[in-house]
Amino acid sequence: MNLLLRALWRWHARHPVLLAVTVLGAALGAASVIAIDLANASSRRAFDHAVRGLTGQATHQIHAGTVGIDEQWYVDLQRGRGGVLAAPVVRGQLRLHDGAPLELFGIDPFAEATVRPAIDAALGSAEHLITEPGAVAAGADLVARRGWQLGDTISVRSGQDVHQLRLRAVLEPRDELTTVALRDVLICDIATAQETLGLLGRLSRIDLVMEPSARLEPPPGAVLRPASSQRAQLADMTAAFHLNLTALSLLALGVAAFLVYNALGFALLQRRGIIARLRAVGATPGQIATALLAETALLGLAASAIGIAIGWVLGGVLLEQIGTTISDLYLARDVARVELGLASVGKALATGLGVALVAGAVPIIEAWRVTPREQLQRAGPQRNWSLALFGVALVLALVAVVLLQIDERSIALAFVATGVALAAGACAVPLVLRAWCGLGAALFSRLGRPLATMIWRAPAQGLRRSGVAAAALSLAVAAALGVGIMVASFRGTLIDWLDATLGADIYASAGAGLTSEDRPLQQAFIDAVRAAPEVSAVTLRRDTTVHGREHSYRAIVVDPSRPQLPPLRAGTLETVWPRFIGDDAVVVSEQLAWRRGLGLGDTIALQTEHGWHEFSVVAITADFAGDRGLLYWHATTFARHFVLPPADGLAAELSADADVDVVCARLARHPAAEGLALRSQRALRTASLQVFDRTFLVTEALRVIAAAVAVLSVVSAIAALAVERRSALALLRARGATPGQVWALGMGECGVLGLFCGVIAVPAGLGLAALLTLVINRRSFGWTLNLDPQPGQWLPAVLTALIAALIAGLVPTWRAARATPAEAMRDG
Amino acid sequence: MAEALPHRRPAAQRAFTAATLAALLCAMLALVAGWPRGEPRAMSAALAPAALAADAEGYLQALEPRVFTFPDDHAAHPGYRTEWWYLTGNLQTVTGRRFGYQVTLFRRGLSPQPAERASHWGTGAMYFAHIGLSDASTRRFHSAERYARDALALAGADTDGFWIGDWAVSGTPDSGMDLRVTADAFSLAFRIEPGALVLRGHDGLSAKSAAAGNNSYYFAAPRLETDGTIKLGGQEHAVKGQSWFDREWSSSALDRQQTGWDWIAVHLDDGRDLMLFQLRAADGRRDFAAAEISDATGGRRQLDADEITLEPVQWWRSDASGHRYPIRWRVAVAELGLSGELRAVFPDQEHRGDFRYWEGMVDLKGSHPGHGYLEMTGY
Repeated sequence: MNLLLRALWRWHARHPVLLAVTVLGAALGAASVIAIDLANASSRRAFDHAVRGLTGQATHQIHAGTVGIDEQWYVDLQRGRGGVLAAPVVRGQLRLHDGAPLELFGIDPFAEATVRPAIDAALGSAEHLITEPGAVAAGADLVARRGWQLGDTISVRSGQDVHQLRLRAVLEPRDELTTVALRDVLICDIATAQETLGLLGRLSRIDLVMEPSARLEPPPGAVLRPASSQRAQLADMTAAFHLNLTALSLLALGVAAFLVYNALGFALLQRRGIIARLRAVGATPGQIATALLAETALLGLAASAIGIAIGWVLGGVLLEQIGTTISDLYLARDVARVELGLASVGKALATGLGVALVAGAVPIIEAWRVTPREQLQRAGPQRNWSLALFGVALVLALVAVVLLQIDERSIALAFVATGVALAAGACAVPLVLRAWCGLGAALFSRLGRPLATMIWRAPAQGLRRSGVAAAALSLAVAAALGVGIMVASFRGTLIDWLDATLGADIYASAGAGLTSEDRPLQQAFIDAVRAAPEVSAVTLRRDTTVHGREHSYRAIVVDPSRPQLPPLRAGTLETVWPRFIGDDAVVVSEQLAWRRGLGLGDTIALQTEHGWHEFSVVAITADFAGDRGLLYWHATTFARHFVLPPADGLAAELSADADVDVVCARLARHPAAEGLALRSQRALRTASLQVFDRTFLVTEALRVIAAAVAVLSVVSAIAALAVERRSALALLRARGATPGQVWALGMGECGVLGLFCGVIAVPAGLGLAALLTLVINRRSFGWTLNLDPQPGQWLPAVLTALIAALIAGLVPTWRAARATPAEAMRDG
Repeated sequence: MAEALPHRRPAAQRAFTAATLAALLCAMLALVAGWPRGEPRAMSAALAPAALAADAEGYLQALEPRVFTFPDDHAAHPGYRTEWWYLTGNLQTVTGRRFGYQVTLFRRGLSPQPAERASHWGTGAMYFAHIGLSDASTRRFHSAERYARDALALAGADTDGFWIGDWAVSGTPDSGMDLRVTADAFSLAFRIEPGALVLRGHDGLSAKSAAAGNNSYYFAAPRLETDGTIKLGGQEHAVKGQSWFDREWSSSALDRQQTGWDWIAVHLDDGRDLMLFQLRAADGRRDFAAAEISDATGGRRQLDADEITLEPVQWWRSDASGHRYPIRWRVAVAELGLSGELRAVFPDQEHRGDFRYWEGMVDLKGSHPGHGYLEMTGY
C-alpha cells in the first residue's frame, strides 16, 4: 500500500503548483465554514450566557411596561403574600467614556440567594454596595480588560447624564456561565441603579422562582413570562442572521468542493497510465481505490488543518463584526473572544475531510470500475453526457422551483432550493459550453480563421475536463457576483427608505440612536428646540416596549402634527392617517407582520395599563431599524392605553431658508444638549449607512473568500486543462506550428474558457442575487428589498474570470510553446 | 443566639448574617465561638472581635441606664448596631400534644451614618428573621429564615409591631399581639395576650461581661398567654400555652475570650419566670453569668451569679452538622433553693439554616418544675 501511495504521489510531486492550489482552495472553503461556525457559536454563546447568567434560577419574570414597575408593587407582593421567591432588578445601558456599552445590573442582595445563587456567591459580603451610593462590583475579567483597580472611580454616561461610580468589589465567579454573563456588566445595589439610571421608584424586572402551577397577577402594563422566553426571543431574533451567514459560508465550501473534484479528477486522468500499470503488475482495483482514498483523505486533512488555522484567525475577525452587528441590532454587548474547542476542531476536520472524500469519490469510483486496458487508452470514452447532464439540470431547476413553493416561510427550504438551483446551473454548463464553443468555432471557420476556429473548438473537445472546470469557475464567479448584487440591492433599498423616512432636518437622541436603549431627553432641551426661531415643527419619539401574550414588541410612539408615516407597504397615507390617530389602531413594520403573520385588519392583543386590549393593524410599513420589527403608534392613541414614557428622540423641521448646520451647531451648544447625539438629516443618514456597512462586513468578507476560491479554482482548472492540452499543442509543434502559434492557441483556449465562465456567471449571479434578495431575505427577516441588477458589477465579474483564466494558462502554455516537440509528446 | 459559623450557602446574606449575629452575640448574650473553624472566608476578618469593636464606632452605645418609654421603645432604635425581637413559647393542644415555637427578628446596622439617598432602597440597616417549630410528638424540628433591607417597609419594627415580608407580629407585648408566619413546612397564627414588662439588669442596662462597657438595653415580657393555630403537614392544631418575649439593643463588642453561650428561660409551674444565661470561654468554662426571677406582676429579683450551677449531663451529636450539644443540664440556683435537671424535650432542635445553633423546648424537673426554652451557641 505504501508503495502504491508513493507511486501515485509522484505525479503530485511533479505538479506542486496544482497541488498547492487545490489544497489552498479546499482550505479556504473549509476556513470560511469554520470561521463562520466559530464566530456564530461564540457570539451565540456569549449572548445566550449574558441573558442566562443574569437570569439565574428564576422560573418566571415580570417584565415592566412602558415606564417600569412601581416598586411599591414589589413591596406589596413581599408583604402581602408569602412563599414567593422574588428578586427585583433595575437595569439599563451605560456607556464608558470611550463609548463601550456596559450593562448596569441593580439587584437587592438580600433577595439574590434563591434567585441568582452564582452571582450571590460571587458577591460575598455586599455591604459597601448597599451602603455606599455609586458603589459597583465587576467581574475580574472586565476589571482586567479595563485595567481598573479596586476603589477606582468609573465615569459612565447614562443617556445625557454622567455619573461617577466606584469599584468596590471584584467578582470571581466560580462557573463559566456567570463569568461570561458578567463580561460587560456592572453589578450594583438596586438603589445605586435607580439613581444612576434615573429610574427612581421603578423596577425594570422582577425575577421569580415559582411553581409551574402558581398564579400571579402582574402589575398594570407588565407581563409575567417564563424566564426562558427572554433567551428564546434573543435566539429567535438572531437565528435567521446566523443561518444566513452559515449558508454563505457553505457556498464558499461548495465552490471549494468543485475545485477539489476537478483537481482530483484531473490528477486521476493524468495518472491513468500509472494506475493501469499498477493494475497490470497485480494491484487489485480495491487496493488502488483504497490508496486513492487515502491520498484524498491526506489532502482533505491537510486542507482542514490549514483551514482551521485560517478559520480561527478569520473567525476572530468575523466574531468582532458579528458581535458588533448583534450589539447594533439586538442586544448591546461587547463581544467575547472566539474559542476553538475540541468540538470545533473535530467539526472542521470532518468538514474538510468529508468534502475532499465526497468530491474525490466520483473520479475514484470511475478509476475503480475501469479495466487496465481502458486505463491505458489515451483518452477516456467520449460519451454524449453533456446532454444528459443538461436534462439533470432541468430536473434540478424544477425541484428548486417546487421547493420554493412548498412552504413560503421556510428559510431552510429556501437555502436548499438555492443550493439545488446552483447545482442545476453547474449541470447545465457543459452543454452550454459546447454550444458556446460550437458557435464560436462556426463563426471563425466561416470567417476563414483556422487558428481561431481551433481555439474555439478546443474546450468542447475536452468537455469531460473543461466542462467541470467551467462549472466550478462559473459557480464561483456567480456566487461572488450574486452576493455582491444582493448587498448592493439591500443598500439601495435602505437608502431609498432613509430618504423617505428622514423627512426632518435635525435629529436628536440621548442614546446610541439606533437601538432601543435610549434615555429620556431633558425637557429643557426640547423647549430650547421648540423656541428656536428657525424650527417650524418638532416631532417627539418614544422608544419603548409593550407586551403581548407570547411576545414583547418594540414600540415607536411619535406625535407628528400632520399626516406622516414611514413608507407604507400596505395601505395609503390618506386612508391610514385618520385611523392611525384613532382609538385602537397600530401600524406594524413589515418584519413583524411577516414574523407574526399579521395582515391589514388583524388584531394584536397587548397588556395595557387597563388590562388586555386588542389593537387592529391599519397599515404595514417598511422598516430597517433592526430586524425585530416594530409597532408604531401616534402618541395620542398610545397615551389612552399606556403610560406615555418621556421622549427619547426628537426630529425638528426647519424653515426653508435656515442653515441646518448652523442651527445644529447652535443647538448642540445648549447646556441641556450635553451628551446628546444631535445630527443633521445628512449625518444621520451617513451614520445609518455605516451601521449597514458594518453589518454586511461579514458578508463582504465571505464574498471575498468565495472570490478567492473562485480565482483558485480557475487557476486550478485552467492549469489542469493546459497540462492536458500540452501534448496536443506539442503535436501541433511537431506538425510545424511555430512557438508563437502554440502560444496564441494555448492562451486563446484559456481566454475562451475564462470568457465563457465570466459571461455565464452573470445570469447565474443575477439568479442567485434574486433568490437571496427576494426570497431568502424576505423569509429570514421579513423585509421587502428591491432587486437592483447592478450592471456595473457585471464587467468586473467577467474580467475576473477572464484574467484569472489567462494568468492560470500562462505557465503551462509557455512551457508547451518552449518545449521541443519530442519532449512535449513524451511528457504527455 | 447563633454562632457565626455558616455552613450551607456562601451567600451575601450569610455574610451579612454572620457579621450581624457575631455583633449581636458579642453585644450581648453571646459570642462567636469556633470561628474561624470553617473554610477561610473573606468575612472572617470582618468577624474578628477586634474588627467588631472597630465596627461599633459611630453607633450609639449602651453605657448608662436609660429611661424606657413605651410604646416608643417597642420600635427600632436605629442609632444602635444590633437589636432584636424574640418570641419563644411552649404550647399544647387539648389532647396534650406539645409544640414549641420561636419567632425572632434581628436588626443590624450596616452603616452608622447612612448616606442620604434619592432612591427609597437606600438603607443603613438590614433585618433578618429565624423561625422554628418543635413538634414534641414526632420529635421533628422545622425552621426557616428570611432577609430584607431596612427600606420601603420591606421589614421593620415600629410601635405597632414588627415584620419581615409577610411574617408579621402586630401589636406590642403590653397591649397584646397577633402573630402570623407562614413557611414552606408550617404556619403559625397566634393571639398573644398582654403581659407585664420587666426591665433586665440594672433598670434595663444588662451587662454581658465582667469588663465595663459590654452592655445592652434589655427588657422582656416573660409570661404571655397565647392561643391560636399551628398548621403542619396539612393538619391544623388549635393550641394554648405561654410565650416569652425578649427585646434587646446595643452596639458593643464581645470580650475576646467569650466563645459561646447558653441562655435559658423557664416558666416555673409556681407562676414565676426564671431567666439565666452564661457566656463561655474557649476552654468551655463560664466567663460570665447572670440570672433573674420575676413574677406575673412585674416584680423581679437579680440572683447572685456566683451561686448558679449549670453543668452539662448528657450530650447529643447532630448527624447533620456533626456538632455536639448538651441536651441535659444539672441546674441549681442557691438563692431560690432550686435544684433539678433541665432536659431537651427531644434532641434535634438544631437550626441548620445559614447559621447553626440549637434553640428548642425544654422541661425543668426537680424542686421547681417548669417548661421553657434553651438556646445554645458556639458548640
